[in-house]
Amino acid sequence: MTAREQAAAGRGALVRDAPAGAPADGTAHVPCNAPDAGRNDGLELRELRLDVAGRTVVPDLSLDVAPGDVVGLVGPNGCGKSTVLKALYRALVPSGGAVLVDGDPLHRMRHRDSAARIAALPQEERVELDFLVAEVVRLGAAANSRTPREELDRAVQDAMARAGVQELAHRSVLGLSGGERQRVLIARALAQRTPYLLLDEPTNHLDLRHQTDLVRTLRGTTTARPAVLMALHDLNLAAALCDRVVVLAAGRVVADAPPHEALHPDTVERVYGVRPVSITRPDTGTPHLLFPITREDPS
Amino acid sequence: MSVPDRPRADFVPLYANDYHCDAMHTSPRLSPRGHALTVLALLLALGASLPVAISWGAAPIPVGDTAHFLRAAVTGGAIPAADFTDYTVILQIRTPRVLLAAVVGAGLSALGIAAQAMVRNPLADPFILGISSGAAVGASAVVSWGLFAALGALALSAAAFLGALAASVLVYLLSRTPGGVAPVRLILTGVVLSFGFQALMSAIVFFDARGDAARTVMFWMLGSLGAATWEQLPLPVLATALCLVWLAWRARDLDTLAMGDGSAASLGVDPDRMRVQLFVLTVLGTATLVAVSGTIGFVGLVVPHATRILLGPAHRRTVVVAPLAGALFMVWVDLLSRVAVPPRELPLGVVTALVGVPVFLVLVRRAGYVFGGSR
Repeated sequence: MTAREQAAAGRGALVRDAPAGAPADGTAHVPCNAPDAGRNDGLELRELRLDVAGRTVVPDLSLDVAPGDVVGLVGPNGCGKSTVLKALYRALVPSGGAVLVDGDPLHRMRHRDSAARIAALPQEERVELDFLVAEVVRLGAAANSRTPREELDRAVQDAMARAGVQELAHRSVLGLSGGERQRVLIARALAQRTPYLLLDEPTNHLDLRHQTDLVRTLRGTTTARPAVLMALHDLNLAAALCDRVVVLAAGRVVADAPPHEALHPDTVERVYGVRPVSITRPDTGTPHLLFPITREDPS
Repeated sequence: MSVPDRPRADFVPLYANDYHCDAMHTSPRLSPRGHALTVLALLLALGASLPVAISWGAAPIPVGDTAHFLRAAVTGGAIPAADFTDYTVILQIRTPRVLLAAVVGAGLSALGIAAQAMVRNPLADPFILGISSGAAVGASAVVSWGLFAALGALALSAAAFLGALAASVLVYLLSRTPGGVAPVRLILTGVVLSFGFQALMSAIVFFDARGDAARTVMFWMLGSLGAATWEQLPLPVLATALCLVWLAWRARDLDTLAMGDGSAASLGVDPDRMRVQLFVLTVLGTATLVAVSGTIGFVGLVVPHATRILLGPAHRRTVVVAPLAGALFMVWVDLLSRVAVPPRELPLGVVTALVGVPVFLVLVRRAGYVFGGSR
C-alpha cells in the first residue's frame, strides 16, 4: 500500500511527512522554515464568517488543515472558495470567527508575521511595474522575515527551479504569457518558504506538462513540504492531488473527506446539479469522474 | 524553452555588467556598483550645479566671487565694502532660492513616486489628491480677500498649506469605504474635486475688484521660487528628508504593493494601511512644498518615470536616484526661468514643461517602457 493509498483510505490513516521545519535532508529543496518550535497545530478555521461588499458569502465555516496536508477546496462558481483563501492570505478581514495558525490567531498578527507562515497564489492580479521574473520571486523570498539574508538567493533559485521558470528569470513579468505568469507567481509563493501554502486555481493557464509538474512539485517527496489548501475547478485534479477534498456550496461545507468519499457522485450531483460516473484511475487508484455531455439542448 | 546565449547554471546572476539590459522590452538594471556610481555622479553634478546656479542670474556674478562670498559667509571672512551688494544678492536671495529649488525638485520627485505607488497609476503626481487646486483656493483667498493679512509674507504659504490640507482631507473622506481606500476611487474623487476647487478659485479671482488678482494667482499656480528666503527653507528640507527616509525604509514594501493588493497582503504588506500612510506622507509633503513654491507641475510626474525607464522599477533604487535627478533638474529649470527673459522670470511650470516634455518623449519612445501592464 503506497502512502497515497493510505492517504486515500481516510484522514485518520493519513501518512504525513515529517513535520514542517524538520531539517532538510540536503538532497532536495528546503521547502519551508520552522514555524514556532514545537507548535504544529495546523491551520484551523473556526466559525469563520466572511462578507464581501455587504453580502455574506461564507456564513459559518470550520475547517482544519494539518501540517503537510494537501487539501482541495471545490464547489460551484461563487461558493466562496476564493473568498476563504482571501481571508487566509489577509486580503479580506473576516466579519466573525477566527483562524488559528499553529495556535496563534491569524488576524491579530502583523501582516509581516503571517507572511512568514502562509504564502499564497492569489487570483489573477495585474502587476503594475516592469519587474523582472527574478525580482518578483525575490519579493516572495524576502517576504519571509525568518529567511536569513544569505539564504535569499538560494530560496529564489530553488523556487524558480521548482516552478520551472529559471529560463524566464530575466524576462519582464509584463511580457509573459498567462501560463508563464502563473508559474512565476507559484515560484514567488514557493520562495516564501512557509509551512502553509494557499493556491487559488493554480492550474489556470497551465498546459498539460506544467500541470503535471505542478502536481509533482506539490506532492514532492521532500522531508518537509508545506501544507497546501487550494481552490480547484477540476474535480479530477482535486481527486488525484489531494489528501482531502472539501466541497463547498453557498459558503457551507457539504463534504470534507478523502476524495473518494467527498467526490461521491451523489455529492457532486447535489452540489453541481450534474451527475457524474465515477471510475477508478488504474495508475493511482483515485476516483475519476466522467461527466455526461449531451449535444442537444435538453430544453 | 531554451535561451541559447545564456548558459544554464544553478545560479543565474541578475547583473551581467554595470548597466545590464537583457531582454527586450525591459528597462535595464544597475548592478550595485553601477547604482553607486550613478548616485555619485548625480551628487557631483548637483554639487557643481549649485555654485553655477547661484552665481548666474539676471546680474551674473563670477563663480570665483560667489565661492568667495559663500566661504566668507560660512567662515566669517571679510568682504570688501564695494562687493556688499553682490554679497547680499548671493547670500540672501540666490543661495536660499537655489537650495529651495533643489529641495523642491527632490521632494516632488520623491512624492511623485509615493503618489504613483499609492494609487497604482502612471498618471498620478503629487497633486493628484486635489492638493494643487485646494492650495490655489487658499492662495487666491489671500490675494483677493487679504486673508491671513496678520501673517504678512507668510500669509500665502499658510493659506496654500491649509487649502491643500483641507482639500486632501475632503478627498480622503469622500473616497473612503469600509474596505479601505480604493485607488480608482481616490483618483476619481481627487480629479472631480480638483475641478470643483478650480472653479471656486476662478470665482474668487473673477469677482475680485482688482484686475491683477488673476495674474498673481496664475503666476503662483505655475510655480515660482522668487520669494525664497532662508526662513522658508527648514520646513521643506525637513519634509523632504522625512519623505526620503520613509520611502527608502519602505522601498521593498512599495515594490510589493505594485504586485496588487492580494499579493501584497500575502507578502506581508497590508495594502490599505500602506495606502493610508502614503496618503499622509504625500499630503503633508506636497502641501509643505506647495506652500513655498506654488504648484510646479511635471517634475513629480515625469522624474519618477524617467528614473524607472533608465534604471528599472525597484524602489530601493528609484527613491534614491529620482530625488537627486529631480533636484538637479529643478536647479537648472529655476536658473533658466531667471535668465531666459531678464529681468522678468518665466513661471517654473512653463520651463519644466519646455525642457521636460521633449526629453521625456524621447525616453518613452526609446525604451519599451511599460507601466500598468500596457505598452
